[in-house]
Amino acid sequence: MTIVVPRHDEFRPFGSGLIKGLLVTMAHFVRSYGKRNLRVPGKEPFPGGRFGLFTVQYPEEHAPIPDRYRGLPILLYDDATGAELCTACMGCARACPIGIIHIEQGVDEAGKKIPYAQHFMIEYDSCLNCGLCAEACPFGSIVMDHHLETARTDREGFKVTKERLLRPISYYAQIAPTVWAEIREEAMKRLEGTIKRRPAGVGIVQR
Amino acid sequence: MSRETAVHVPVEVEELETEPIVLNIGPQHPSTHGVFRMKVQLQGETIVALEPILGYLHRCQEKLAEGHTYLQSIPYTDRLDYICSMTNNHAYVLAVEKLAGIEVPRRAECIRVIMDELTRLLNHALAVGFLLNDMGAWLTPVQYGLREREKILDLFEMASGSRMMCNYMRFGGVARDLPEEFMPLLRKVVAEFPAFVDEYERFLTTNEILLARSKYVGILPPDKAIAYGVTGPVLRGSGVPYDIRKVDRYSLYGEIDFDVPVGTVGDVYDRYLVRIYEMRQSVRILEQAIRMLEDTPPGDIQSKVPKSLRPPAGEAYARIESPKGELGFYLVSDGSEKPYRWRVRAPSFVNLTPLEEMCRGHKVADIVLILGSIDITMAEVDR
Amino acid sequence: MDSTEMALLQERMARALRPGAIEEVQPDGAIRVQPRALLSVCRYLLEQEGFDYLSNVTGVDWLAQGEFEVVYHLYAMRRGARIARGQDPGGPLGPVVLKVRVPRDQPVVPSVTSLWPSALWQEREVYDLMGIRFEGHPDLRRIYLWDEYEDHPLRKDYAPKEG
Repeated sequence: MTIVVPRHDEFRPFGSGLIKGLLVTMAHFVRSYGKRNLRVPGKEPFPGGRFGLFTVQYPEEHAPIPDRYRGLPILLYDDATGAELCTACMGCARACPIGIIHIEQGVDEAGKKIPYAQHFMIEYDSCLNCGLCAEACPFGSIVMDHHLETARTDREGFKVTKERLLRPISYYAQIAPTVWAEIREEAMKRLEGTIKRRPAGVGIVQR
Repeated sequence: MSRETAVHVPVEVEELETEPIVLNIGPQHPSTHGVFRMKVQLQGETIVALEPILGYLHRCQEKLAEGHTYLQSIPYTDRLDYICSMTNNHAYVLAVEKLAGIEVPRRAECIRVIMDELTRLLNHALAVGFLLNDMGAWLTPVQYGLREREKILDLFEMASGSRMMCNYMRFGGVARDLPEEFMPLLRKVVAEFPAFVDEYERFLTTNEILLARSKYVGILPPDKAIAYGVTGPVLRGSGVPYDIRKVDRYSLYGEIDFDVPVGTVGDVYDRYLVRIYEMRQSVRILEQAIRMLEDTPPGDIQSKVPKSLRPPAGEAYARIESPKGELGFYLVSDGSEKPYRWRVRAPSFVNLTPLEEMCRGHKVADIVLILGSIDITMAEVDR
Repeated sequence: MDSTEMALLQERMARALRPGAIEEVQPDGAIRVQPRALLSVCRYLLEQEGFDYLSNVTGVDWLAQGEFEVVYHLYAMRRGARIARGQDPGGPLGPVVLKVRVPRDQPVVPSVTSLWPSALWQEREVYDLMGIRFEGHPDLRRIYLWDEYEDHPLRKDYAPKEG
């Protein structure tokens, strides 16, 4: 059915609407004094805790970020073995709408291709943060970081190569536990196979 | 200076001639909602003619999409109307599903309805806020709207990973199931929202300044509104209860019970009121959609869709009731994995067509008000 | 709009319009109209059939066939509005998809702005991006790109200039 909206044409003493409106702002002003400490110190305020009156002192403290937050893409490697999860399958490079992911597959001594990315470069300055690369990756290798402060003064620095892209799995499992739990089993199973197919010593992160 | 020359010489009034002046509003003007330019001809303070000039934000998205696969275009639809990225996603995936004949599981449809209505809530909260901002109420009303929007953006971020560029819907469903902490928070938002609308109404609806500024300003009669192809709250403000949710019954809207608010005069005030009442209806829809969602098994959110989607050659036009009006996607496929033609029927663009009609005869200060009541996003107008 | 409604509408159209106005009815229900007959078909649909709402006007470049196609999507808004009032719409709601094909080297299509002003800007957009001229449009200028620009970017043979 339809509702015809009432136009408030009836007579009202002049100024009554103004006063009614001002009472609303006044009530907010008074209430703002009582509501301040909704955020319990030392306790994770998300979810639910953000419904109140508080200020996040930004550079010192950060507002909590949900697990699924899509920052910039990063690559993962295994903590225990140091093995990179990426196999240079090019899935992410094909999925990327703007084509900013550049991968060069590694070869062994005989010149045969091996499941290992010799070079991996992402142009961070053009990234849409759409997360399609992470969705396309069957190996759980490329994931979305939660790091926000990416400003730089040099443009070349946005061409991020493998050294700066790689993070340990433990880092990602800590910032996004639920997302990692979803892909963990598949990723670890596939990593085992990848290590077997690689020559020894290839694709191991030096720490 | 001698005394004689300074003496005021009376002139016959008939000899004076007034000339219309041309005033340029925009493209960089705080109340044009983006980079919108208007060439206004004024006689005194009265608008004689108004010529909108577009294209300052044109990025040729339709051409860009021809170079992308169907899936890769979803993030680009986020950037059409960046306030309502969820509804943009929905309209686009609906068109592709029509083209390729993809079924959508019921749970995914529930999630889509919830996201659409949340988008409507946040868009209308912002639209009425910015309308008051344009009216000169400065920042207080829009802050109220922004506060409510923030809660909904938190929900979007939780489900999709991004606050504004959601990129959440996929062909045959949605990208991910809702996280655990989503539902309690959603119920809280839905439960608290009517109180916000009531407070907003107390705050503004009978405010004398708002009444004086918005009543009988920018009238668009129903016949003109239909002829100009206006849709959304602007059309319903003119008294035509045309709602695509009712007409097309896409998604689950056929099963959901809600009313369509309509205005009587078709002025700025009616459009304001229609948005307020639509927020209440959206809360009603949300309550029903939450109940529907609870009846569906979790995890069943996407039907099987081939990874590189190649719809059969053909065409499809799908439209939804986005918060701003009819958002349609017209897709032509030639059987390859990239669309042959990708066209957006943007509500903001078509709703702007009668702007001159609405403004003529009003004072120059009313332009921003009428523009604010149409509720445009320039990213969608220019595409 | 289901297929029976569509078939009935086509029957009525075939009776009311002069023969040859409708070139072809596609399997998906889209009606291809002769360019010269476009205005009379549109007037019939607007005045006799009540399709009062022109939702979408767009162009498609069929480079291989050497043709441009202009596509119109029509709906019946006054009938659709009855649904929300709880009344029976009493007729088809749409969409009626009209198509016009013109050769690429002479892309001129009659303008429908006199019937539906909602085409005012949409036709300008098609002209701007596709280069199809609409005869009888009151103000056919570029809408997005600047006036000095020569190309039409949505054409399939468009190649961006270097620089």
